[in-house]
Amino acid sequence: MSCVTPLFSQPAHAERLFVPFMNKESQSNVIVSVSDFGSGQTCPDQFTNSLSNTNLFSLETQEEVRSAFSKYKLVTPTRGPSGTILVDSFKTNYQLKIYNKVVNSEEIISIFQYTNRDGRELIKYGSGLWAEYRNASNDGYNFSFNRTGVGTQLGFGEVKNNKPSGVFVRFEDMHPQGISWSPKDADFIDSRLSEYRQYTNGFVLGKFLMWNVNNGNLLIKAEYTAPYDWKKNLLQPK
Amino acid sequence: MKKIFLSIGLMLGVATAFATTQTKTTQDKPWRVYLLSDVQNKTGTTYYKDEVYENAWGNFEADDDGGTSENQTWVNYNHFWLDGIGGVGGEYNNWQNDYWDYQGNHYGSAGGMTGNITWDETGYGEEIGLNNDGTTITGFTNSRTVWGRIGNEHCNVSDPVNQTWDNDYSAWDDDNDRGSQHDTYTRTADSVWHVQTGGKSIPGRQSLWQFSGSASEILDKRAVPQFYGANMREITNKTQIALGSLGNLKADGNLWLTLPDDVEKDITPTVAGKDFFTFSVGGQKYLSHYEVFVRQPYPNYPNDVTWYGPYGPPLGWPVYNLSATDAGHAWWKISTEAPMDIVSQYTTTNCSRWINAEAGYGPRDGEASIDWWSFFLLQGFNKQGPGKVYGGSAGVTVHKTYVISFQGKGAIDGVNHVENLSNIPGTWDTGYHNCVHEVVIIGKTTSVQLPLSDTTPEGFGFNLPPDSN
Repeated sequence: MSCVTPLFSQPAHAERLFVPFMNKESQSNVIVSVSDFGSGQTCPDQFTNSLSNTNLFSLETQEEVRSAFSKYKLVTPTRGPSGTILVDSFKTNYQLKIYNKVVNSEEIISIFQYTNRDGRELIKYGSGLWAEYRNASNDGYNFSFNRTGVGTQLGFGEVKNNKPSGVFVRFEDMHPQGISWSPKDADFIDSRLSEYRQYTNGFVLGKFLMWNVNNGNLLIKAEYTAPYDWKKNLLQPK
Repeated sequence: MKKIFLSIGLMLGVATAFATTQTKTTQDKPWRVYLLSDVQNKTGTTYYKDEVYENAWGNFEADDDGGTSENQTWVNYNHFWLDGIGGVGGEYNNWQNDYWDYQGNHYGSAGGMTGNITWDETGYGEEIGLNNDGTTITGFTNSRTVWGRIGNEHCNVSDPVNQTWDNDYSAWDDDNDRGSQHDTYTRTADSVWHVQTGGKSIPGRQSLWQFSGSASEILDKRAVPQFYGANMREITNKTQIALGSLGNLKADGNLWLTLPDDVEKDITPTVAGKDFFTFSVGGQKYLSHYEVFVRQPYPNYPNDVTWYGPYGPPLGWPVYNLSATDAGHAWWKISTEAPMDIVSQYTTTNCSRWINAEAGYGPRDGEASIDWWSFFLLQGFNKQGPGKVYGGSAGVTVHKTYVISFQGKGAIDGVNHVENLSNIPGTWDTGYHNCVHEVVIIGKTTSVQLPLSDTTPEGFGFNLPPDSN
């Protein structure tokens, strides 16, 4: 059990809904039609949280996401995706002060070059995995594995000219690994789409959807009608 | 798997290697049941005189074939063995035989030796003997370790012999036989066994111990280790056997009790009224633990701050996973290695059901909720509802284990608290009485101090101190 039963529904008398955890004042060009962070609202078929949902993903993107699942599971700081060679690798160390504690963090950043085409992979390896695939035009995608309490969260975002453009999605594999965690043990066979955003030129523009992965209900459905700087307006915990 | 370390008694006629170090290494200091010392001192003398004298009468003639023989021996054996140091000892064996024939001619011989014994801390060593003729001999007793000399015994015996005789054999000879025997024999020996309880010297920490033992009275006063062939009588009433100052064994041969950590106690078996007996003694420490489990919504926080790229972390990060509706959870387990039938002797059946069981505290299903939106942003906006004790949870991401007492702000107090909480769960409250609070409260009940600087499972898991012993 969770120690709490979350309830995010906003007051019934509210005239308009907002995306939670985001600066309210920044949401004048955001149309929120669903914002229910309890068990959510029944999800219309067109927004079913599935990678195979063609209302959300082109066939090309579907294939790209699927291949990324397996592509990055087995990479290491010295072994890149198939067809690449290691061209550079270095460590970074930095300190974070959280909860009145100083945390030392270390990441290994490796760059791999494709041998059969003009493309490269930048892969950060540490508490999770972050990967950037770019072709010669700086198009490609970003990819991440991050550990959660319920398993592994996969992030995938299309990139054009080195900026988020296209879809950005997150999946939860719902496969807890226990005390230790490794990307190679992530299991995305039954993973569930949890978040969907549409980006243009680095800004959110278009749909933003979140689902309750336990029941597939919609938690939030919003339409961004103007370019929106997501990171700038994201509220962080105090 | 638990092991009970026993000093196998020599009553089994087995040469036991008492040098075995009996330790367990899961604590700061290992515990052990061990032979601390052994002291023996034996002194014996014999004087035997027999005279055949002429007593011709009747049908027999004196034939002047009498004579007098005297035999004397002087024996001493002593040693002192101390754990960690080694031992020293000495032996002294002298003898003399004399014979005078009827004409007064003397025939005689004498011999003997003295030996010096040294053993190192492992029990190995040597004996250097000096014969009376000036020659030396090494290991003349054919035993170079101390272990063959130690009998796990208490001995305080005296066995003197004083007798005279005068036998008239003239019915078929002219020789009569008269003489005397005067022996002295005293032997004292004491093997001392101790327990070092190990662990940390934390005031109030008491761990559960099981001791067992046996004893057999030795009926042959002059028996010495290894007591081969000696007549013995087992002490079948175990309650007659006391282990040092700990108390007497129960009828089943066991003694269960709690002892402070990091102390040393005498556990040498004694049997009231018995001057000569061999014994065995063993002990087992049963550790108790307070285990803390946490499922953090984002276990890698804060190391994951750079892993979300231009998209930023998920909404609710790091205290709440919105899509998985997971705010995390904290729960506990009070565990002990002790057998449940023994645990039940220290508490009620209802309370002991919480031993070795994962449990946690939360709001009763559907009867409380939290506005995480407000909690997250405003910090301190609380929701309340009826509380409940649940079983454990899935998806642990942090697991810490702390050694605790069995009694005295330990496992027993802990399960008693959980039983009370189960009966009167009170009000669950995000700010003042949630799962994290109860883990901390039960920790305090079992003398484990856990930080309450952050009452979210995320922060709580992050701040937990490392495992302790």
